Amino acid sequence: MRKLADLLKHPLRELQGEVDEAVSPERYTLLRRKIIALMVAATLIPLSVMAVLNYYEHQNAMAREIQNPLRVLVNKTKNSFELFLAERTSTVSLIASAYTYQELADQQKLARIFSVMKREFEGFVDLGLIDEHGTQVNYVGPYTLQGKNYADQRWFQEVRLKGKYVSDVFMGFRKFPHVIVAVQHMTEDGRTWILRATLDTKQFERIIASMSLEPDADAFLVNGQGLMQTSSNNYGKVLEKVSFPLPPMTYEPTVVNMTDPLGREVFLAYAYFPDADFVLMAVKPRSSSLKTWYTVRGDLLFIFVAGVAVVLIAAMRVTDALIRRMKEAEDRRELALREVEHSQKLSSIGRLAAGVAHEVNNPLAIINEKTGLMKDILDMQGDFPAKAKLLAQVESVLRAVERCRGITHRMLGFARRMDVSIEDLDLSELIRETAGFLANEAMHRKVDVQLDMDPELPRIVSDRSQLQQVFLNLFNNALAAVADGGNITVTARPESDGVRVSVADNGCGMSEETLKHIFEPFFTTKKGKGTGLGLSITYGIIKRLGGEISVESTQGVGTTLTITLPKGQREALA
Amino acid sequence: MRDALFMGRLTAGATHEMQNILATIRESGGLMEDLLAVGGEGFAHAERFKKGLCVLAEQVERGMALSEQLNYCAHAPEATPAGAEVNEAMRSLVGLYRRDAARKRVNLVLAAGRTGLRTSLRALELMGRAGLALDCALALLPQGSQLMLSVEEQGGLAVLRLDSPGYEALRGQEPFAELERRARALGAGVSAGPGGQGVVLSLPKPQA
Amino acid sequence: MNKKDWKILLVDDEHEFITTLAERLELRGITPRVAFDGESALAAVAQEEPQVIVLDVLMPGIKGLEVLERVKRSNPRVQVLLLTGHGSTRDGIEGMRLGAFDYMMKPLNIDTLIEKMESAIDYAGKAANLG
Repeated sequence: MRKLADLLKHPLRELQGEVDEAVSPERYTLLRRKIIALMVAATLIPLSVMAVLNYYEHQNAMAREIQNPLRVLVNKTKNSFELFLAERTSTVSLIASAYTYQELADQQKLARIFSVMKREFEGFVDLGLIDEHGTQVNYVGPYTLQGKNYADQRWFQEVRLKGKYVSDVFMGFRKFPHVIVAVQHMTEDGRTWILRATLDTKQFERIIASMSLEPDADAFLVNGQGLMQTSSNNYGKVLEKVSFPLPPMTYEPTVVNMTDPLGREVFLAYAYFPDADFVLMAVKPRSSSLKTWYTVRGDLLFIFVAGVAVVLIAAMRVTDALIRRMKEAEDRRELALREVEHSQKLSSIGRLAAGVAHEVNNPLAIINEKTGLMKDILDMQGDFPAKAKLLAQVESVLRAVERCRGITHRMLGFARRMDVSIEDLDLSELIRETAGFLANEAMHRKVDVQLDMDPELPRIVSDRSQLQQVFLNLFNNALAAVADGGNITVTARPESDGVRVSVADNGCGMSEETLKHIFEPFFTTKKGKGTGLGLSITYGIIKRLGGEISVESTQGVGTTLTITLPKGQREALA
Repeated sequence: MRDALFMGRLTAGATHEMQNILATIRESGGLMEDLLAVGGEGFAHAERFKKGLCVLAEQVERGMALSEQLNYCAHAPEATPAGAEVNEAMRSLVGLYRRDAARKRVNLVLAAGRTGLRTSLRALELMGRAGLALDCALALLPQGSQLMLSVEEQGGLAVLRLDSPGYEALRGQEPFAELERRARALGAGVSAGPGGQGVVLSLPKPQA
Repeated sequence: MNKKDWKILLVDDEHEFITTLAERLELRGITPRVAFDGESALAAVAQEEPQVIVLDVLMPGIKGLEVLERVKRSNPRVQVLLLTGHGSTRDGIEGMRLGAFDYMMKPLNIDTLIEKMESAIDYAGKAANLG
């Protein structure tokens, strides 16, 4: 409805739209945007998808590469722990079966056994013999624990039940983290006793230290209740509760991603011990372990961004070039249209100009007659004071009218070049007349125009106005090419069956490239100016008139355009 | 357009020269009057001579006016950034056509409209189109008729209206189709005038 | 033949031009008649046949060339000198084809005009003698 109202209000709007469209630069802007968007989408979407896939693929590969060694390390370390514990347990077990109760109960003997043990295996702190009632019968070690009763302690119950026992780390009486390895032995006579050794947890620390982890990484032992068995850097001291929940139980070394209580993204590698209530854990912050990944990711990102930039620039460049081409093509079409228009128009405007020039002749004729009459009157009259002066003025007016007539003549001359006619003509006169049009400009610019016409030049049958246009073009081009004070030489010579005319200038000359295209329509060296139709029109006319046109030019030296015209007309013209 | 511009340059140079010459004739005329005033005793035909000088002066003015018109034509192919002033172009065109019209005994009048109306067309293109319309009209109108060209504003656009009794017959004619075609090529529109009378040429507005 | 007896008709729509021209011719002993358009020119010819018509090509109403054609049809002995203002010699040539004696461009040189009138009258006399 509104549209209709608008239309009624501005009935010419549609028309206006049409007009605007022909020259609208927005259309190109829009087109340019669309093309760029399309090109960018067509290239960037696959590129982005590839980049994203690559990113994740790469990230996973990198993660695996980091997780695997960690898993292996955890496994190895777990084995070390197991080996350590198994060794210690079997040592204690061996001693228990190799010696009799009496021998072990002998203070001296036990001391000697213990010293051998300590020498052979690191980590033993003390060794004690406990009877079936839980009383420590004999003891070798740094503390005085002889006679102490362990009957109501958990480890004692367990060793009685299972025969072997490896304790969690605990402080015990000695307020020092340690692990107990206890073995129960039964003699043939049914007596049972327990050999109990305490291990220094320093050995645990050493095993962990042997993992030689980076400073920000962490490895520690935790028991089934989540109590720290060794000190960790970040997650609590010995026997403190570990600051994150235990991962699901598995004996296989496993790596999980998690956020630790410090808020860091970490890899947690862990494994439960099958024979002891321990979990070995190694924590490695992802940031440090993925340092290489980050550099790789940086590279990837850089390549992606660079790629995008290249795509954008290329898209813009290509589009610009494309649009420019389109614009040029459209401009040319427009130009061609206008040229066609223009040729029709020129005839009417030429006619108008001729009309005005003719009009001007009327007052001139009257002035001429009136002045002539005044001269007649003066001539008839006898002498009087002002006569001579008046006569001089009258003569001056008559001369002025004569000059004016020359001008209108010239104007009518070039208005006349719109008429088409084939006539028998004197080429040198035509060249002289045409050169006359430019005499003023040449004089102004102090350009020396030499007309070298062979007096024997034959008359030719051709189109006067078309030839006039040809020479006007050639002279105009030559004038445009020369610097102020330059030279233009026009030479006309008879040829076997025609005439050869050359227009030589000592102007700027043309490059080879320009020479190649000089006769093409729309070619112009005057950027932004001129229609470029000059020489192609000239070429067209000369060809139509059955002649030839050629150009020679040296840059910086000058240009010579030579045309040959036949004496008579060929049928082509008819 | 280069040719037209070039021709325009030549014409402009020529009209300039012509105006100079006409000015010298004017001066000569003035000088002769002075000479007659101070040294005219004994000149029997002084009155006749003086009459001649008057005619001289009149004709010089006429020549001046014409060469100004010609000068406008000479500059008509040039593009002006603000666009061609429609009234000015029409005044010049009607000046050029008045004699043509008189020869066909048609009284051509220009009803100049609002001044300052502009169009993106060059003056030459504008004059060419309007001239074509005038040609059509002059070819068709009976002797002794009246032809009015007016410049009007319609919806922000400059329009030219050609009106004359019996002119509506024009729209069916061959030259009219040609006019329509050419006007369209330049982005101008041709339509019937109000009440189906005459012809309206709507001109593209100047580029902002 | 004495110039006083020449029968000349000047035709142009430019009053000032044609009356001044007439005045100048009178000063040279020629007494022309004048007409300001085609119709009155034809009427003047019908009234009294001139020897020479000086005829402007461009006039309102009946054009110069048409006047020429009609005069040549009705009064073939009349010689016509065409005045063309048009830069194109086409009108002149066309006029010659239609039987004009010669053509001249405005502004005129009066002596040349009188010479041409004289040769036109001579030519007419010879043609009459031959005929």
